[in-house]
Amino acid sequence: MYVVADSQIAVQSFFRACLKKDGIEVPGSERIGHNVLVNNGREWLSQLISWFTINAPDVVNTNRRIRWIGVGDDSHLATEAVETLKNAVSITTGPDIYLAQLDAPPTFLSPVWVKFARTITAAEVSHSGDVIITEAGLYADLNPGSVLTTTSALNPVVAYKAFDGLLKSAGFTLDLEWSFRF
Amino acid sequence: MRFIEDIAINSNILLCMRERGKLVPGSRREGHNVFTVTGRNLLSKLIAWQTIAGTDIPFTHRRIRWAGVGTGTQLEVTTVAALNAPTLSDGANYLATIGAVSFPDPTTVRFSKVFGPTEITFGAAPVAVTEAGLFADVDPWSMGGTEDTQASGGFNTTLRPDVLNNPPVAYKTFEALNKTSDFSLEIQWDFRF
Repeated sequence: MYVVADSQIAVQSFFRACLKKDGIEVPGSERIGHNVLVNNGREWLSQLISWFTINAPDVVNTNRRIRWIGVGDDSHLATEAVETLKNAVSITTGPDIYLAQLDAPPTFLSPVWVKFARTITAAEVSHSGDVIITEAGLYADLNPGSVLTTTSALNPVVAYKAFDGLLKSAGFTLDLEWSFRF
Repeated sequence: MRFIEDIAINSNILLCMRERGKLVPGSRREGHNVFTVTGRNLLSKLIAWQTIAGTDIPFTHRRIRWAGVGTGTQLEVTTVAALNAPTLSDGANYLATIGAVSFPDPTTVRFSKVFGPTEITFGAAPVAVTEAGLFADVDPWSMGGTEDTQASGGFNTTLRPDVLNNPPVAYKTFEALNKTSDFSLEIQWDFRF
């Protein structure tokens, strides 16, 4: 008799956002939930775990890894078909930059659980006034050899989350955390 | 389209034996398999950068590179740390490089390996193959992943294909396939993300 494990390998993905003022969490501003690994992310993962050529030196299909986060003020239905943020907002301006570099290294909550984080500073996003943040996305990229354009609002996300609006004002910071437990 | 709380990875394995290209009746084995803690650890490291700077530095460059089979069995649980009873694929090594990688659809990757008639059964005796594993590695080990360390014994990879206890990233046990030197053994391993 064979014991068969789950037919699916479940990857659990968690998202958390909250506003802080002077380092103290703003009551009612915490957003927690799961999120969706979109088709673009699934395609990226399938390429990431495989070699293009096995023949020392081995050659990769892709060397992109999770590198950026972005936010927006609109939202999609959270499905695998999401390709970009619905309406990305710029992190900084002059020129408008839509991608924020994640903290590195990420945190490993356990050997199989990686957490990416970024704090949007008081001056970021709300540089031209208050913004209601309702969506966030993760992006895979590399440097040198970047395949994304930081000045574009239409970069393809690998993971996506829509949530109840968070009013980001210049006096607040926005903590974003995104973890994957394999 | 769907909303899901877990991101499901479907993993399927197909094995069969062939004699001069023809399927050996009764030799087909299909099923799901288990992605081990080693594999889950690899994925968590693989998707992240350790350093994001002028030149990004990864934790690891290891990707699925080897396949191995054995004649033992064990529970298909995530804690599988090695094949139960690995068998040599040639006269010296338990691991054989996978033969081909293909993408049946954009989010599915298929790893294929064909063990030829003289592999596994390089001796005269048949071998009852009952387990298989996939292994992640990189050659050379020094491509930049800070967790990629060179195997002992002069190998340029992070695993030693000549030892028994390499940790698989995925594992499957199945009803015995009696491989002889008349048969080739095909393995197809799919991961659908």
